[in-house]
Amino acid sequence: MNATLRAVGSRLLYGIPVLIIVTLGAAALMDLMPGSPGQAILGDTATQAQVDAINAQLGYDQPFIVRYFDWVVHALQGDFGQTLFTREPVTDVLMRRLAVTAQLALMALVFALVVAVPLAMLAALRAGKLLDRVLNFVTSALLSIPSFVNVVLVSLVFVIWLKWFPATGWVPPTEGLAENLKYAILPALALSIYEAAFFYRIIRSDLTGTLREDFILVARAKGLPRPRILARHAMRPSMTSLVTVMGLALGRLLGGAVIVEYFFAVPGLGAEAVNAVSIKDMPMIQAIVTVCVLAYVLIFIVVDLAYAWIDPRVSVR
Amino acid sequence: MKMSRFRLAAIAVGAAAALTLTACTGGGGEETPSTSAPPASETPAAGGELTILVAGTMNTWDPGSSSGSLPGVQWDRLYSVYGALITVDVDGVVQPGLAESLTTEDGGATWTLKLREGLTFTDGTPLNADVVKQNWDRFADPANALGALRIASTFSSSVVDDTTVEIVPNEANPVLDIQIADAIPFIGAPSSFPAAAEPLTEPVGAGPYILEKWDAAVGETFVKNPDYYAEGLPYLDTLNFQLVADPAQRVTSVVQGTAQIMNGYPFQWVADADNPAVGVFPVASGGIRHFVFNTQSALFSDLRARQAVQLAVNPTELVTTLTQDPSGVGSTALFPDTSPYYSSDLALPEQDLEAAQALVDEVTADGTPFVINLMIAGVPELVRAGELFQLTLQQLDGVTVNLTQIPIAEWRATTYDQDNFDVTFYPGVFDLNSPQVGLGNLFDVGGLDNFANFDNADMTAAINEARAATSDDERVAALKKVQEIYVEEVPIVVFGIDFRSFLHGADVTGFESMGRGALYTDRIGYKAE
Amino acid sequence: MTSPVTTPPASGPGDRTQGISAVNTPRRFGTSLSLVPRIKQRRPRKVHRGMLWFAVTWLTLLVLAAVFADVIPGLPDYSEKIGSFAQPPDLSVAGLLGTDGVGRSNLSRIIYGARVSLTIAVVSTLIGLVIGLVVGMLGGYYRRGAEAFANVLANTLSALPPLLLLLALVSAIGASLTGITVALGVVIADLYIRVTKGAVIAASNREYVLAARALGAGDVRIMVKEILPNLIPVLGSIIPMAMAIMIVVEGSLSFLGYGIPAPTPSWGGMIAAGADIMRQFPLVILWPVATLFLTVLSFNTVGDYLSSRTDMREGKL
Repeated sequence: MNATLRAVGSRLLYGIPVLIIVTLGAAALMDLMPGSPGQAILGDTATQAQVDAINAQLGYDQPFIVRYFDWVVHALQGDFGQTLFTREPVTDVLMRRLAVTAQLALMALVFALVVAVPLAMLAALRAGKLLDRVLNFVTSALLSIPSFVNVVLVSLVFVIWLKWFPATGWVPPTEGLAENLKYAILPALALSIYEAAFFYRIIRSDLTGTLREDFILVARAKGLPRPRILARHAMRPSMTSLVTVMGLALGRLLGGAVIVEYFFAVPGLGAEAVNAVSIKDMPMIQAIVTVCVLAYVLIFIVVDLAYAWIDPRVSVR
Repeated sequence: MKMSRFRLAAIAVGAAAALTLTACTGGGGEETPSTSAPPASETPAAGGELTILVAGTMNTWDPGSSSGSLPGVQWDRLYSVYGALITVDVDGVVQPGLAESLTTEDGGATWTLKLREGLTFTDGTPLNADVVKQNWDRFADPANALGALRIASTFSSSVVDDTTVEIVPNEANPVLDIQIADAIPFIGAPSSFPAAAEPLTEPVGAGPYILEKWDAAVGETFVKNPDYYAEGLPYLDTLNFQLVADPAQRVTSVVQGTAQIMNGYPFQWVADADNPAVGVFPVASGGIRHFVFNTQSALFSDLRARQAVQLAVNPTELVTTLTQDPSGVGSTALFPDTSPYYSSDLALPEQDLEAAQALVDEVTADGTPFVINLMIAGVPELVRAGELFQLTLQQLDGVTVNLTQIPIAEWRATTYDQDNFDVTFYPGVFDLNSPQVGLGNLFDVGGLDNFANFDNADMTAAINEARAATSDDERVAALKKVQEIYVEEVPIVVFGIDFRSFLHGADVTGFESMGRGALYTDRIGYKAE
Repeated sequence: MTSPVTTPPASGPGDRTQGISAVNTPRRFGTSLSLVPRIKQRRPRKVHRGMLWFAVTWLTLLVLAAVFADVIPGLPDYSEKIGSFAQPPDLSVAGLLGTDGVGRSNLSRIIYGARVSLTIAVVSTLIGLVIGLVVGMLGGYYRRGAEAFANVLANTLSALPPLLLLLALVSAIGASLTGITVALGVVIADLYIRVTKGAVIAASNREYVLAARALGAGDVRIMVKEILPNLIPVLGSIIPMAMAIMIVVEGSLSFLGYGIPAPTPSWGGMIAAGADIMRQFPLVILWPVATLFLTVLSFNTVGDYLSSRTDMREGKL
């Protein structure tokens, strides 16, 4: 237990320098980009004097180190500032967006697991046979399709062709779960295509390795039924890889669903991030970046802990 | 087990088939989009909920924050919550709204605004002359940093009585009514005013709807205002605006029926032109597609350089490449041929590559390198047009074109304020429903849309004549002069005429648009059965 | 008796495992002084022979076409207007794939676009590789502080959603070929840092390294002559797939409007340009999508093959 606590603690500590570097880097990078918040707020018909006035009011005319420390001080008290345009508290907006992206990410993970795990088990059992080879080819293909093509294909099939789902839009779950699912399924599906193929390959390759091990032979010799062997004995060592890639996928999905969100008009974190970068909404950018790093650190703590719990041979360093 | 293998394969095959299927039924762009006359507007039935798709976000509800009566950005929503004192229709005629009239007796030296009696905001406070003046003074205060400053600072106002405001422009302005109608017709309740330069987050207006829900990244929901001044309006109970960034997805949503209205151009929905589930409503006034020379740049302050470029391009090629509509026809006149101001001899010369090359050689012989910095807003249709421009011009010896792409949100600031370009394409169409105002914005010194930095005394005089014209004949004559100077000086090159349009569900009716295309959202509704 | 910790092979793009990949037992470099014979189990080759041949052929053709584009007979310049816009394919070389939205040859733009895509893939990989090798090698060999630094750097780079980081970098540096390549190289560096570090750690404990040190070899010599060559198989198996990612990400950037500026053709740019006319003229977007897909598929296949050759699980006695 002590070792575990220490491990968790050390990983959290590791996270702090990362957080500092990332937020500092974000502040510096924004400085290098053209444009200014004042310009974004006032739009094209404003004079330079008006733009400068807004920038001064937002504290944008100060050197970035000063702005950064100001932000850190407030952030430590939980105040991440206000959004650039609507002056809403950043934390409120962020939570709303994060909830949306998190929902899509979890749905995508579930879709991917539900498809990938059974198929991988099947293919591992019949390694080298037709099913295995076909799936190998198909997943190779699916991994090679970029996300901006994925969304178009998914839309083509399910919206234009089958007419099962609406093309765009979002209704939060608080306003009706059925409505929400109607809008959420398609983006989650688009996101899950890559992950499903990815999971499939990892699990399958791991399983075929595991199935060669001696203890499987022993189980077969004992006369245990094959499904049971698969589920209880063979999957266990593969759980570590599965957990790792699930963590990676979650991290990837949380931050990277930009194209899906843009295409399906879903108000998620990725779309918000792109918007914040383009209008130089510093409080929002820093908040998003902080959330991403924290999520990343947390995910890997959980993954490492799960890793250690699943595979007793591994001790958490 | 076999099922999943086949299902996977079936999906893959199905997707491929769908792609080819759409290719076969897509029509290959041979059909012309239906720009038939809008159906005789039926009176819509009362009630219903309707969704309009938009591309622009609402960041503030300040009545002084709009950037023009264009559809799909802020104007529609501002009009929904505030209504308008006056508006301009597609024929350039000022229409009453919350105000009964805005008139001048002395050619624009003084104006009188007459409000309707008994107007109230949704919070119960009265909308009277005093409130109007408060709004206009607020617009004119630079500390508030509002776009409305531009127009509001050109006049001062005083309260005559409860429903009358007297307006005195700094200089006699015969078109102030159109300018106000096109930029600052919105009046908000003083209780809703924020501190200086802060966004207005809780609008209180006297418009057809009341704002119920607002999420800047998603859209807005409005409900009917029962106390709206116009009897029986609005027809709808609920009006939604939904933000969808991708234009093709907007089309798909309307075709599918999840939303009812979107604005765009006919070339964006060619594939659905004959679909009975949708209809098209064109904005009758139409506008010009053009590109602009920076007449103050080293290269294009020389008339020969401008003429050379104009002679090198083929307008039909530009228009069809931009719209991907092979039936498009190029046009270099400032007006469509259906306009009373049109004259066939007031167009630019035809494409002539030899003459263009001769002029290029002259300019380079004088020591000016023919290097064109072309600035393009990063929208696919403009990128196509820009690339065509580049490869056409680079056919000529001695010409280099450097193409820079910038995000559309930054286009105006870069080209209008910063001027670091030689040529740029105007995004979309430039509306000319009120040409004396529109062309003034385009060609007059300090005009709102004078990207060309054009400064020509004859042009200014002609525009002022047009503005001051009291009869149609006078206006036609004055605008004829404007067009003659355009042909002579070539500050911009028009290459086509296009009509903003709305794609809508077949069951929606009541379409009327303001001059530059924004919808009267209080007049739309569903067809009565 | 040691049971090395194994992790799933890097069999999918974007896989950033933190653990140690199994390393080839050196045959040529150094001697194995182990007294315990090891049983090496080869995983059955997952890559279908036909697919591999296709992949290699396609990539070779692509490279040849890209390199010799200027001398292909009948191939117009990528900016040359050869006809009306969106023409269907005909039997000439120039019009083999029809024309794009401006009337230029699709075939020409695909081939010249290959130059851009392949250049980006190669150069950004090199940049990432250099960063990864240096940091990973130093971190894995010297451990302690160097390793901590490597960890922090890798974690920083991967904590941020890659697209967000790219957008910010490209906005700051500028959307030129150089800017995008550098940005991509920085973003992918964390993969190389991790893999290198893990492999170096494993290799450092090997007998041949101890032997070399005993013989008096200096650190640098050991790193370069003993360890580095043993990294080649591991890196060789992830490089193709990382290159595939680079090409796709460039496509995503172009799709969002931050890619290589016109008129230089790039596949992502062609896809973005064809997206808005897709319903009327699907062929315009079909060619770049198909090319991108086949190229990524080929890279993935080659990477799969290499990793299946080098990734050998060591059995226990």
